[in-house]
Amino acid sequence: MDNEKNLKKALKNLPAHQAPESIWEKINFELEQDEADKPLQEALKKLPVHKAPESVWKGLESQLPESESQQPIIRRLRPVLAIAASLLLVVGFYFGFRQNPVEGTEFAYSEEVLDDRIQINNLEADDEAFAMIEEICAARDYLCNNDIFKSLKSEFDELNMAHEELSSAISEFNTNAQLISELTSIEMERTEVFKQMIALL
Amino acid sequence: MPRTTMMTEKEIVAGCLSNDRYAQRALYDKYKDAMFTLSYRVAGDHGLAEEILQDAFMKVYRGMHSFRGESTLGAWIKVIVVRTAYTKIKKKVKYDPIEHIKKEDHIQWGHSLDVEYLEKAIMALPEGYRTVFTLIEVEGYAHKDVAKLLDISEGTSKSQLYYAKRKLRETLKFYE
Repeated sequence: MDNEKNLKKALKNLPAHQAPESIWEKINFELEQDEADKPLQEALKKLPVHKAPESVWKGLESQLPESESQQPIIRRLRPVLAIAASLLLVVGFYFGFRQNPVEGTEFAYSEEVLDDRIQINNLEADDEAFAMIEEICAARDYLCNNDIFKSLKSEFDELNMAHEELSSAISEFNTNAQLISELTSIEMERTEVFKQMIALL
Repeated sequence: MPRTTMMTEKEIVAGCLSNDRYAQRALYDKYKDAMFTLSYRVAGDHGLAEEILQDAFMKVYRGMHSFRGESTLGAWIKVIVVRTAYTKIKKKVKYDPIEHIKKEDHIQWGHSLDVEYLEKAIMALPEGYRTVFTLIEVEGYAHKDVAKLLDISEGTSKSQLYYAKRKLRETLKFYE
């Protein structure tokens, strides 16, 4: 107990050391420099921000593994495109031969078993595919917000209008082979434009 | 409104962890300009800054699992950008060996500084001065953090900053 008391007494009597004056001088110097730096600090706040070039993201995207979120959409679009193209060919050949048969021509035919997937209506398939494009554009507008895509979209819209006009004309006068041939050509062109739009996504 | 601008930081982190391109793009869009500006100020060259930004974001995406949320996401990315940038310029950096600065006079800046000249003067600083000045005065790091980031002593960081300011003042006088 006595030892502890003695230790506490000795600790209380330890000498105090004086802080060297030079320390305050250094602190004072720093404080004065902070004050002098105010115009610099104000100017630094106004320094410009440099825009990152778009090429950086393109470089990143090319290095990143294929995104999980992209896979299902792209993969879903492939069969739809294949179905649309197959149906266009079938419809084109069917109407082409049916409307303008040459006398004496003999037709040979065979039956093919169709994949269940190609029982989908052609227009429905197109609408579904286009809806997917719109979905992608809504989610990632930067992909669709460029001149090439906009120009393709405008071409696609024009072809759609032409398609609608021709379709209504054909429904009234559906014996005109020329109109049907033009409709087929528009559909093929539209499919081509559509493919190019997909390729950009 | 595009989906990417509506994502919260948690969603962005979760998305990046599952390699979701929307989330990766959202993260990039959120920080690209600030990080490009920082890369440019450290590297002193636009082309090199592009390279740094790309390398740094690849490290961010690949290393997202190591983000523990101990700092903000922005601060974590900034450290990666600084390290990536510094690695690129390290060979060119020569630090003044003087640890103890003889501070004779305060550096006086006048009443106001022209921002355009200031930017030019910063970019004209030698790599070592520019890096320390940018990290401390522009990005707000403390000397101990800069010392750790650049693998230098705190004394070197302080002396680099002092000489950077002196050099900057001299250059600005030339523009006046």
